[in-house]
Amino acid sequence: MNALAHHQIARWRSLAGELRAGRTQWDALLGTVLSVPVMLLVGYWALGDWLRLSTALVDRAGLDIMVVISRVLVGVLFLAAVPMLLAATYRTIYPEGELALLRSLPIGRVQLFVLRFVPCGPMVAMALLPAFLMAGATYVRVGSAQAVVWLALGWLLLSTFGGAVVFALAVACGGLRSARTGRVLGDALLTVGLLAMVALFAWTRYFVQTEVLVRGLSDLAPGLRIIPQALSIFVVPQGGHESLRLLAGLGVSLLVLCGAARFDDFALQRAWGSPWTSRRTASRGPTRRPRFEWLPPQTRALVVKDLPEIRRSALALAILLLFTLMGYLGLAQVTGRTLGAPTPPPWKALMWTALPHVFFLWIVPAATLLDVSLEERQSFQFLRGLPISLSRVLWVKFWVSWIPIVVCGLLLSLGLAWAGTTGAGTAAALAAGFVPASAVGTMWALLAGRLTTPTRGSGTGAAPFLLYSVALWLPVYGVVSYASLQAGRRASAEVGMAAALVFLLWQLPLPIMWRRLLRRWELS
Amino acid sequence: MLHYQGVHHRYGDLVALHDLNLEVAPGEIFGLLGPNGAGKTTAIKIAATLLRPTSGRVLLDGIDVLADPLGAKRRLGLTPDTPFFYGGLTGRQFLRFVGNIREMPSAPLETRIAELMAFFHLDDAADSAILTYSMGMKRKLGLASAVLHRPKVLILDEPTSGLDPHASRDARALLVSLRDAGTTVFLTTHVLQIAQAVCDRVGILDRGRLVAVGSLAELRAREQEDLEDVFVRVTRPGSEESDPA
Repeated sequence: MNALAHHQIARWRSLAGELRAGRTQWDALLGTVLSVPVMLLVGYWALGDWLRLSTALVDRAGLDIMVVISRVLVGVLFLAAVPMLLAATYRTIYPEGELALLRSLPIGRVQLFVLRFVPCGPMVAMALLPAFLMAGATYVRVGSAQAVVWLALGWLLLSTFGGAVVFALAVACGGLRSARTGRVLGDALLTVGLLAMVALFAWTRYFVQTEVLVRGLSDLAPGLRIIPQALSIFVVPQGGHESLRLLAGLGVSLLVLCGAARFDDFALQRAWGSPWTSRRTASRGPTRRPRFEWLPPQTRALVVKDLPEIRRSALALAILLLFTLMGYLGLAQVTGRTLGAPTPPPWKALMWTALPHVFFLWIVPAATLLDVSLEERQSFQFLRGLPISLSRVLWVKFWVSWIPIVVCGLLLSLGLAWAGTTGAGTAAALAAGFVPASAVGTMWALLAGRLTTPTRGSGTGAAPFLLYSVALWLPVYGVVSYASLQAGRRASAEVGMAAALVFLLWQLPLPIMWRRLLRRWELS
Repeated sequence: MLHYQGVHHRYGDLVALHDLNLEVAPGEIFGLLGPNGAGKTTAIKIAATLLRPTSGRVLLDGIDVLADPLGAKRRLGLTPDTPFFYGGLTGRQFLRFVGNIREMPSAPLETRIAELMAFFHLDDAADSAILTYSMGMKRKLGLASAVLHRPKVLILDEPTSGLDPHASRDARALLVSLRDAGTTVFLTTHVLQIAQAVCDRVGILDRGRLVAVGSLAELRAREQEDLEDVFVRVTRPGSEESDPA
């Protein structure tokens, strides 16, 4: 156990040493040092602005609008973060290469998992932080004693609980497994979590008055308020049959996807070959005409290689589907009426809550798809040995990752307009904001140069990508809030200009990141 | 064809290569021998454009690998000591991937893949995921991907490691046939019998210095030694050849 702990500490020290010694890291470090205070300032400003705007809205529209807004914000963030983090954390428990070494050493499996447990709590805590900040800012006065209690009770207790659940599952599900098995179990865990969500939805919708719970708990410790708020996402204000069908469809789709992934792994492990590759190829014979022949050869090579990986990752597909439908449901809920009703929603409330949601919802799937598409350290070396330029590799990966996200985003916008939840103009505005934001987010994730994936080797899980997404989301949120606060009317021009400014600002670090990655690609 | 000119490389305080000067002639099989940590893999990485030397340069078919890494990569085939594969792809898809990256036309590529799969007895596994391959099969696939485009220079790091005797013999036959077809082969190995069997010339690297170089006949000329005796003599600590001073 001590040896393992020392090994871990040595790895951290080694990383710190590399940072100190490697001149190539300094620009990245400088970028981080500069960007963190900016992010904190913008985040603080956005939260303060949110509080002021909340008060103004409550004064004018009454408490109901706050309930609707907060439950959507908190509910979506919370429910999005928990299953993703549980699944992602579970994967990191099984680093395949390291495990091979550890298995040959006389270490008990419980000891091994205790060590693995250490990162689980902080990872869950990181994922929950935005949700708790939002909830706290809504219900607790910043700087008050209540805020301290809220943070201490809510954040620490729930994150510890989350970490403990992961730990218990890891040990209970048994022993030392490969990263691949861990991945399947992570997917299964996600499915179970989602089925539980569907059941909770049915329960809260038909048997529990969530609003009563919220009010009843309001006199208790502030930290406990997060729990009914998180559940309140399942309540559609007027009528819920369509939402129920949406969630049921989502559950079934995920079951199918995870089943496919399980079968894929099952077949691979038994040397049957992948049903997505081997059988199709074999049935058409070895001289089968290669796909995508209209593409240039190098582009074709990368596309043909990456597509099966993305298709085979049930988690990537599941999250894409999950976030599409939850985004749709969330936006429908914020209008506070039955899906498809003709009355248009209040514009300001819609913009205020919908736009950040869309940005957040689409950056996370973007990161997930990228996560699959990125190269491991070894494959990065392998590609470096081939006659292909880094820019070609990056652009192909960009298009492969970004196009499906754009298609889904546009489908969401069209779906909203079709259902009458938003007007065609608002849907177009959402799409226009989403397209450039997802493009920048995609390039950010690529250039950040993460060379490992959670599905293989020593993956670091999805937590960094969640943080990227939150980081991208915060300034957009601030800008939109500011524009809404300033405008007592439709402020399309201001919002557009602010979004363009954010878009431009986020592009500034890209050249630095490009040069950093290029140095790793070229002779180093 | 492959020319190291005063190549020096250090990792922090550790000097991995001391002023390496070495020329490998066209159509020659050159074996670089040396004990563990001698600098063989560093020398290979520099030639394969994967590592920038601290000083000096390497010319590959007249191309400075620092100035034109893409041009150099087009001319060489590489099998590292631990080759990488995309486990989810089949063997055929992997070779197709490498061939497409090398911009080979589709029809000749398919023919060449079939030819290599047959040569390495991988036909039956060609359409199975690489994840299911044994170590030896992966080694053979790595060799096949390195020679897929008929490179002018073939660089191999421990090419026969993990191969069974049959596959090892096939690999040796392949190297000889490539040489006969004009390919320059630069390989490292610990197996001195392989060096004796296929190499036209060998160099012995010890603690970053090239302590002996020449044909097998030249190296054995002083005494009636075999290659193993020469190797042990020149790489023994304190020996005249290996002493940096």
